[in-house]
Amino acid sequence: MNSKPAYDFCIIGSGAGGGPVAYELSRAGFSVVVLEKGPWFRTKDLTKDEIVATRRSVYTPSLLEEPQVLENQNDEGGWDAVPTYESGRDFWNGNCVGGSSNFMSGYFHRLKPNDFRLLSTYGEIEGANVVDWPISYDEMEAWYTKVETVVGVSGKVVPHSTLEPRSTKDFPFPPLAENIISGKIDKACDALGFMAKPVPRAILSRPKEERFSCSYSNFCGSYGCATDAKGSSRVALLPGAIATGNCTVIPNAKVFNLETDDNYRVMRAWYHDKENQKQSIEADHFVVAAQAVETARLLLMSKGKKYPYGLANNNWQLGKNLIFSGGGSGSGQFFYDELPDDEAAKLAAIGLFVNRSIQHWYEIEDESFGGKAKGGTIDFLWEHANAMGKLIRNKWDGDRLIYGSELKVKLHDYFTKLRKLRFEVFNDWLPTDDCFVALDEKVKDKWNDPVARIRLGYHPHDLKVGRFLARKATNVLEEMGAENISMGVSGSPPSNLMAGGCRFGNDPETSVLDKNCRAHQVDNLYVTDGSFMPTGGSVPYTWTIYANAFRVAEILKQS
Amino acid sequence: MEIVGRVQQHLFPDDGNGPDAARLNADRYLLWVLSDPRKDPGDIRYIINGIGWVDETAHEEYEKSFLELNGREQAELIDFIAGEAWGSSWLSIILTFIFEALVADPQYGGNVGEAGWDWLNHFAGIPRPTEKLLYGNILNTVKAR
Ligand SMILES: Cc1cc2nc3c(=O)[nH]c(=O)nc-3n(C[C@H](O)[C@H](O)[C@H](O)COP(=O)(O)OP(=O)(O)OC[C@H]3O[C@@H](n4cnc5c(N)ncnc54)[C@H](O)[C@@H]3O)c2cc1C
Ligand code: SF4
Repeated sequence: MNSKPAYDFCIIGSGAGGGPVAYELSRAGFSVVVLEKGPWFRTKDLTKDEIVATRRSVYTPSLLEEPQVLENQNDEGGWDAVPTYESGRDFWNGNCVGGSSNFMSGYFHRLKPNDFRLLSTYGEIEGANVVDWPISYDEMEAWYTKVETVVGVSGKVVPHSTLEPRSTKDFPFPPLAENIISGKIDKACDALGFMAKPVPRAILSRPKEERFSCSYSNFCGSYGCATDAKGSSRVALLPGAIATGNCTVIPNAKVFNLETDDNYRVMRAWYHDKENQKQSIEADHFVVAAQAVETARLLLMSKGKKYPYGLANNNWQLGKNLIFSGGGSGSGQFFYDELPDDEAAKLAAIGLFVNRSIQHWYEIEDESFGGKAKGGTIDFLWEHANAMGKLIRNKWDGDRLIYGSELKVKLHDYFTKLRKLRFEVFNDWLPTDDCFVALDEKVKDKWNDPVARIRLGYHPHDLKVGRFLARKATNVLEEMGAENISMGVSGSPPSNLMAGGCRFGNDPETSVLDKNCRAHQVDNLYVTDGSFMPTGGSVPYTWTIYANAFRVAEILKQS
Repeated sequence: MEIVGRVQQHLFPDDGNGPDAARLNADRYLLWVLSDPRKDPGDIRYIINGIGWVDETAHEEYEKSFLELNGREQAELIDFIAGEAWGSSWLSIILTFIFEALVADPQYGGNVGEAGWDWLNHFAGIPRPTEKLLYGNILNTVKAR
């Protein structure tokens, strides 16, 4: 009865939130098992096949077998719930060893000090559950730096108005090679009186240990990396963990229950294995990092005698305050025949990165906001090289379907005569009571487990900030001489950038985790994916997820 | 399938500007799509039912089967269908799979001789898939290890 569990730590999910914990703890001599729901693709399996990567469910589950239910607000203010197998709207991001970090583009930004104290810096916003974090930027800084060296971040530090404090002078890897468009962005911003800065990337510009440097493959986001240059958990962290002999990774292991005892502790994780058999694993500590929605779902499913509403949910906070990244996007086009030949050829050069962002308005001071307000980031990037995306976007003219020779002319011109520069805006997705994860009462997955039901409400303030920033980005495109400039800002969330649902905080009444990301109500349960974030900052999340997971791993090592 | 082949040819004709649906093997590609055991049976039914709707519309408008119409009549019928809500959604899906036959790796049966990539000056990413890593095989390849 009292025999020691097989493992010191059981980690659920092998992506950005799980990798650092596996790496640190197994290197410190603890025995670690990682249960990963998806298969284990090796680098040699990862090709640039557009059908596999983006047109069918291969890196993500089939929506028929593993749906989710999405709730959107209707015109009457009610909520319409539609299973994803009906809508085709896919909220999975990467279910395999390494998780979504295999498929990210690796645009890496740190949060800034004001992101850690949104409430005290900018005050309340009606209808939003804004809070300060229980830790400061200073407590996170060392871990951001650790990610730069261990995962590998390339870039160049340039002083600018909102540069966050750093303990090191520059990045350990120099910036990646850039297309000439980057210089044009710099020039335009200069003329407009603000600055564009290089974007750090979780991509190696020089080899590191067994990993090669980037081959500028032109197919990065949504695709696995064939050189291991991209800093996925699968290549940057898990090999170092496995090499210790202390870490076992079990793929095709979908955890469906964390069983608890009467002493407020998790005893074992139950999972469905490759053959759909139920298995269990005992450990001293459990670390959940299944990505925000699935983490909340698993804990909600894990009811026990002491946890009748789900694990760590005795105060009804679990799944609440889910956040995405607010903002929008836009683009402008550059036509080759309007440029000198050599410039056109350089602009068309594939593979080279744009890597420019504007953080001048990370804090906005503008009358329309009644003074100071939290702003965000504008990232510039080329339109994705995926051919299907470009084709599909060209088949409609408003409501009219285009086909025949008219379509062929349009497609040929689009592919051969121009290049589209896009921008993406990242601003806070304010946490509200209308954005959360629950369990659906009817829809089940292929193992008969209830699926996540995700309410996707947003705060109108997010759109206001998004529009402000998107307009600034279109000014840059105008200054650059781009044509057909457009922008769109909406409350439709980017499913690949999710966080929250188990916010950390000092008050057990209003948060799920304590400042160390341990569940207030469960002695041996930690959460290390983006779920801990009570507010999201105005950048993509992954650098912060990695950094926080390293921070928590250190706490676990010490304890 | 003959009906859908003709429809595809009207949507993506042989007009001297790049490959047409027939050159891309778009009809055989669509058959491969429809035979995918992981594809939503509802989506498959929708594509197949649409072929019937095209023929029914031909009967309503011309009192003939679609295949009995001459080229001009077929083109007119497609213009008519494209103006209907059901028609534009169905044709749009047929077009999407012509697009796949245009730019997917030739190992899937379309994009014959890389004609689609050449026409669009599209550089496919490297590494390209081997047979074992194509959709339909990759999950079995990985799981079998
Ligand atoms: C196309 C794309 C582009 C992106 N680009 C960027 C970018 O440029 N910059 C950036 O910062 N971020 C980017 N991201 C986001 C980034 O990938 C995520 O923020 C990050 O990977 C999240 O880490 P995570 O640990 O929460 O989830 P993941 O990395 O997805 O890991 C979660 C893992 O848990 C597993 N899991 C889920 N449920 C269970 C269960 N019940 N049992 C066992 N295992 C389970 C999943 O299979 C998965 O492997 C991008 C994502 C995508 C998809
Ligand atoms: S080689 Fe470079 S561009 Fe290609 S996937 Fe890897 S990191 Fe991305």
